[in-house]
Amino acid sequence: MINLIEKVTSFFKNQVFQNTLDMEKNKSISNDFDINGSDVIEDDVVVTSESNNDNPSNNISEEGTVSTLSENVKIEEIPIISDSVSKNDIDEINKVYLSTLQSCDNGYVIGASIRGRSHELHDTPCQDYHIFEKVIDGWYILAVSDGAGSAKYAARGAKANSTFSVRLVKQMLMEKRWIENEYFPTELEWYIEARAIFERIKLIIRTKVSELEEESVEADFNATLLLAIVTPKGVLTAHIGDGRMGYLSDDDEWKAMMTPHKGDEANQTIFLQSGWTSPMVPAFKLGGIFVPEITIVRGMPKAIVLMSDGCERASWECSIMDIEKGKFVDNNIPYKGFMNPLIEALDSCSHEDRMQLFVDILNHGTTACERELDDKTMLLAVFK
Amino acid sequence: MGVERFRGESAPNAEMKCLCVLVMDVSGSMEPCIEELNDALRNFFKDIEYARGLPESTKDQLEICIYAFDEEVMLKRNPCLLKPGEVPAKLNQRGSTTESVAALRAAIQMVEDRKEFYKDTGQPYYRPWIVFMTDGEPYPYRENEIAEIEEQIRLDEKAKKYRIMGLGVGENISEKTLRRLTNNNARKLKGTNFGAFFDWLSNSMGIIVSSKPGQKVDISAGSDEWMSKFDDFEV
Repeated sequence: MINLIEKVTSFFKNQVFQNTLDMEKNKSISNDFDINGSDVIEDDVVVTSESNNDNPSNNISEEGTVSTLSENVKIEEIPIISDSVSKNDIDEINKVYLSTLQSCDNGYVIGASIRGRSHELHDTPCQDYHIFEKVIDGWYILAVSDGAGSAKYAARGAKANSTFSVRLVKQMLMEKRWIENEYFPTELEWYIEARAIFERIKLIIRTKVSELEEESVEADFNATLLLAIVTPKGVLTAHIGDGRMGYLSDDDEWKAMMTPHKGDEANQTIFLQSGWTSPMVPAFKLGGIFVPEITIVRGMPKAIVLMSDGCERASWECSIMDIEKGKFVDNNIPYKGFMNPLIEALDSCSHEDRMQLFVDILNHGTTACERELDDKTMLLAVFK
Repeated sequence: MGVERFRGESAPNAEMKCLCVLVMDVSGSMEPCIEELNDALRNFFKDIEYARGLPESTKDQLEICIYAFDEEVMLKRNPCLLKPGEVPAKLNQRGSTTESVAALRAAIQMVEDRKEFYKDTGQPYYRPWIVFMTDGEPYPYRENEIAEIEEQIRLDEKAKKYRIMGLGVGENISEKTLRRLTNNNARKLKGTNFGAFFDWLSNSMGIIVSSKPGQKVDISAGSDEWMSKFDDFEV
């Protein structure tokens, strides 16, 4: 895998990276995309917001409805980069900023982005974002982004990363005809496409930020990106930054689908907006992990989960005492003592009650859930 | 079905630690205010144990280490979490010299040792804090030692090895020297209002342990009770 990625990285430096530095190309690309990202939202979109006035589906214009994936559509501006996300967009009781609930493949997808108590304390909005989108039966796109606490417009960066990634994945799927041909790519192919998507998002944001009247820089929009594509033949993931992605295998074993990028100090990470595209030999890694990192899971899992780091202390084995080694280690495994009861609980309640229960569990289900002060996002797909 | 029927549990992850080293002058000149200092320290421990106005997790994250110094440097509390019902060892003043530089050296070494321990045991941690409290100049005053540690602290803070703050007590404090010993991050206590200072310190620790490293936080709330305003800083 490492050799493979090194080869591809070299390929990219020759073929793709030069393109990304071409300012003329920048302009033509950015004209295709409005920074607001609303053009990725279709009528059947599953992202719903309980209280978010900034919800793209509330703002979408007739112009903004996308008829085909490849069309370049002019969309009226809605705020991602241009305006701040309002702190008032929060359901004051549950602190839910954004929620997702939909049936799929006889199962369901459920997601919530919840404003953390430290964000209340510091009077900042929820800086997480997530999107689930069904492309067609059997093909789903999931994205989670966590805005950097130190970034001026973290919430807007998280929203931009999520919306652009979904849009670009859809475009890629159509143009590569993967759905039509029921094609499942090799690691090499997926790495090339994933890297292209991530570079393109970075480029769009860079271009749009440079057009803003306010004096902003790319880093003001720093946010992570976790991306997963579910296909009938397996799951493809790519990510930059921290957070967690994992799946429940056919033989009921929880496994990770990514290794978070971490620096030397705790909670240090990298963002999609960071300088990871600069040509480097050897290829750029953070904490021993390639940036971006991709994984492929062959075969359909029973469930997959994406989350921001605000959920990991409760639901992930990330700092567990290893008696033999005599130290705490990051096992990087979904904690079955949390994840299995979560799915059991969600399975056992009605579809109507599912979201409230999910949010209640994330807020109060365990001591770690209650104590967590950071924003929390969990996006869980359970397939039957 | 409500959340009460959710039978899941949290993964047994280690809490992210935050070390706070208190370096306190107990030389003879502290005599008029030593009892107030002891009272404030006791309340500081209680505030953390009972999470008074603090995130509940603070007591599982904040490790307190205490040095007292006069002509010698005395380790009063090894760095560790507070034990239930723990009362801090009483500080007693003695008529003697003020070995400030030696005390700071010990505190810096303690920070390094504890960070090594965190790394060896795989525990995540925040940037440690050193709080240096004194009511006068180092005595005897040795310029070469002061210049040496001033430079070390400046470089250490630049490398984000720890954050240091100085608290000057009483009217005989040398602001210039205290600033040199704390990378210019020194404040003067209003009167002997140790209570307000430790209230602020516990609140600040609560804010820090609920933040992400790298995040800018504002710890100025309550600080005007005992000093002039702080600037925002990076955790």
